[in-house]
Parts: sequence; structure tokens; C-alpha cells
Amino acid sequence: MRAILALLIIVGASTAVGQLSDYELKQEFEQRAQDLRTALDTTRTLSQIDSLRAEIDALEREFAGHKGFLDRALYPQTFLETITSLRESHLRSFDQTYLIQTQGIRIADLEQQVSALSARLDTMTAERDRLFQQLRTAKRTGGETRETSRRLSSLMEAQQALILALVDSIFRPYGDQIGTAAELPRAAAGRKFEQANLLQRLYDIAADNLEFLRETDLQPSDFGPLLEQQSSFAYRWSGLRDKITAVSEASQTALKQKEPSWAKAVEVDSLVTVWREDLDRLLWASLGREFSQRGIILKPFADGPGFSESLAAYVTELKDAGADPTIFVDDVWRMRIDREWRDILTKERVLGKTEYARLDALVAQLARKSVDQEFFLYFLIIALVVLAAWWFTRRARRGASAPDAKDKAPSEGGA
Amino acid sequence: MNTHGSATVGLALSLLLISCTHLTLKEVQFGWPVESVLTVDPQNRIEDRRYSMVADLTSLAAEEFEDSTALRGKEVRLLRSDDGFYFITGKGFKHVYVFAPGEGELVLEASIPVSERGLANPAMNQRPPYVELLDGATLRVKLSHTSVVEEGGTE
Repeated sequence: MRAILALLIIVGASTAVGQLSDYELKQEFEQRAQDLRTALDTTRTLSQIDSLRAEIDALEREFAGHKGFLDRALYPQTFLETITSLRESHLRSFDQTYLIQTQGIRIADLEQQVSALSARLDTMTAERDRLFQQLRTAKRTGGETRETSRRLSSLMEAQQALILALVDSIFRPYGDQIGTAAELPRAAAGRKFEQANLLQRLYDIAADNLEFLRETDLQPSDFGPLLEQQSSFAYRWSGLRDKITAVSEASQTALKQKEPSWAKAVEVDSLVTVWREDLDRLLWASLGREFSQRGIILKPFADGPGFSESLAAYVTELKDAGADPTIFVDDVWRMRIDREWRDILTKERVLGKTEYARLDALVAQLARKSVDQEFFLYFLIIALVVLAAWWFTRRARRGASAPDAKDKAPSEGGA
Repeated sequence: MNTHGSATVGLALSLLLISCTHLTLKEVQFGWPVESVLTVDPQNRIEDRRYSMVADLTSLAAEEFEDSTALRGKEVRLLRSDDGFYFITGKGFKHVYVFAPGEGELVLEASIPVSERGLANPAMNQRPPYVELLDGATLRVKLSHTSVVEEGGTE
């Protein structure tokens, strides 16, 4: 026993320099992380908070070599999760101090507002899912879809307004120039944006609208609100996109995330384009059916200029052929297009007021010519009737005067 | 016996054989990544919350210190090795105790002498297939579940 112990001491002493217990290593890491958390909770000046960021970086750097061990030893968090949670605390601490010092806004109030709006959105999302399901079932079973479509459309419109309000409530405290602000305010806004899952929510708006277009049989009156909604979203998105990228980029850098959180923005870009294209395609196809259902075959069209060209060509064709334009002018143009479609077609993104007026005038010419021809026909008939009446009257008079002459002749001759 | 009867008996025998065979899962690693440092409570018990383990150390205190209350309020260090043995030691210990898990008990596998005066500042590290024992800057050895292992892997 003594010999073994002596050997152990010699072996131990020769190798003991710099040895560290795993437990101590873990304890040291945990203690330093805890000290940083406490500092982040209690520091109230922006410069001090800023310097704590360097300490988090140092902690990560110093213990990176033990990542594998710490991932197993730290429980329930891993090494990276611990560092990320410190970075999030740092960002939150900065945000809290920044907002109260620069804007006089308490972060708790802002978060409460965001949380309330998010909760309302979640309720609406559940209702949206239910209505979509109802719509699909009604389509499959041939049931009534109109009322469901109307409710779904209204709900999506309200949801869009609410999400945009949520976006505003996050960005407003940081001012209009948040896209070009310093990294930490941008990162703080970006983090809030991510926590509210706003990019996904914006993506969902575009995706839901696309699905709605595909699931619904649209009436002419539906297109107006749908065009408004698409334009409004596209306009807001174009203004938000760069801002979102700037804040998300800063948040990614601050939290050292590997996956760019704004990657979904590219998908939103793409969906907004497809949404617009699909809506336009459905609009022009629906307009085309107004003509084809009444036997009027126009050259195929898929946009405003195409429709103008096709309509003008048809008017010319009718004129040249001298065909009866009644169905085209009265049944289609006056009763359907002018009544049901004028509000949509006069929108600048569809045809525009000037172009619609030009087409209306073109059709009106056809109508005037038609009226002129009818008038001529009536005139001709009346003239013929008058002529015939005159001829019969004259003939009748002649017939009546001829026996008088015969009667008179013998008496004259007798005299 | 007809053909159906033979088949049924055969099937029954096969099932009986299968049920008698021990099902064994291989390559299990029991090792904890890091030792637990636990304080012995007034009832001589230790509790490890992470691994949901509770043990009474009365007999260990009696064995090591010849005083069943010697460990009360003291810290002991507990580490489970990759092959499933529990290594226990602490400040003032002259041994590292190795236990094998039993039904509601830990059964002593070996008590490995490591210090004549008692360990001053011990710590154990998981170094599969061994457990490393450190004592401040003076001692660093590797242990198997039965004894001290020399550097190079020989006992």
C-alpha cells in the first residue's frame, strides 16, 4: 500500500501542473455567466452595457475549446445556448435602457402592447384556418361558399391591418431612421421583430391571399377590395423590406446567429409578385368570360393593353362587317362591363380612367351608328307607308271621278 | 398427431425459447459528463437532482472514518463511469470507493487506496474508459472500477 501511494504521489506530482477538474471548469463557466447576467440586470448606462458585450465575447472565446464538454456538462442548456441567452439578455438590457433614455418608453409597456397584438393575431389565425377549412369542405361538397369567402376576405383584411399595426408599434419607438441607426438599437428592434415572428406573419398574409384566390370563385365585385389589399400590402412591404433586413442583420450579428433570419424576406418578395400576377390573371380571365359567355369572341388578352387592343379590334370588325352590335353594345358593354366592371377597370393599375373612357367612346360610336341605321329604316318605312297611302288615295279619287265623266258625257252630247 | 398439431406445438416451443432468452442492449454508456459535488444532509443522505439519485452514506462514513456521522454537512464527490460504476470520494478520504448498482442499493466493488494522509482537494474527471482522480496539484491518476491504472493503461 505504501509503495503504491509513493508511486502515485511521484506520478501525480510530475503531471499535476495546470490540471483542472472538469467540475471546476464547469463551475467557473457557470459562475462567470451568472456574474454577467447580474451585471446586465443591474447596469443602467449605455456605455457600461456596451462594455459587457466584450465580456460575453471573451467568455465565449475562452471556453470555446471546452465546448464539447460543456455541452454535456451544462444542464439543461448547452454552451452555445448559454452564450446566446447572455447575448439576448445583453440586447434586452440595452433596449430597456436605450428606450427609457432616448424615447421615455418603458420596454415593459412596449412588450405588453406587442404581446396583446400578437395574441389577437393568433386568435385571428385560428379563425382563418377554420374558415379556410370550411371553404374547402363547401367546395368539395358543392355547398354555399359565397358567405364563407366574404367572411374570410374580411378577416384577412383585418389581419393584414393588425400585422402592419404591430410592425409600426415595434419600429416607431426607434424612430424613422432605424434602418440606418447604430447597430445595437437596430439589433434590439430586430430581436423584437423576430420574437413577434413578424416576418413569418407577413409571409402568411401573402400566402393566405394566394390560397384564397385559388380556392374562391371570384365575382366582379370581389376584385376591387382584393386589388386594394394587394396594392396596400405591396406598398407597405416595399417600404419595410430594407428596414427589416437592416434590423434583422444587426440582430443576427449581435446574437451571432448563423442562419440569416431575414432569408424569408426573399420568399415574401416572391409571394407578393405571384399574388399580383395571380390576381391580374384571374381578373382578365373573369372579364374575358363576360364576353365569351354571350358568344362574343375577343382576341385573348391578359392585361390592360391587351384588352384595349382586343376590344378595339372587335369594334372595327363589327363595323367592317356591318353586323348587328346590339348584343355586344347593350347586353355586354352596357349591362355588364359598364355596370359591374367600370369601378375596377378605371383603376390606374388596371386600365385607368382615360383608357376606359376611350374604349367607352369607341363602343358608343358603334351604338350611334346602330341608332342611325334604325332611324333610317323607320324613316323609310314611314315614307313608304305615306307613299302607299298617297297612291291609294289618288287612285281612289281617280276611280271616283271617272264615272262622273261618263255620266256627264251623254248629257253634254245630248245637248 | 396431424400436421396442424405439430405446427402448433412447434410454435409454442419457439415462443417459450424466445421468452427464456435474455434480451440485451449493447454499447450502453452510463458515464456522467461531470462529477456531482453533493453535501451530505443531517440524515447522512445525499441527493443528486440532475440524475434523480438519493443514497444514504452512513455505512460509507463508518467505513472510511470509523464514525457514521463524520460526513454530515461535508461535501462528497460522485461520478458514474462509462461502464456504470459509481465512484465516491471526498476531502479527507484515503480511498476512492467504487460501487455497482444493485436493487435499491449500491454494492461495494472496490475501495481503492489513493492517499495516506487523506485527499486535500480531490476532483474526479470522466476520461473513458477510466475515471481520473486529481488532488490539487499533487496527484493525478486514472482509476478503473477495481484499482489504480498506471499511465499507459496497465494496472
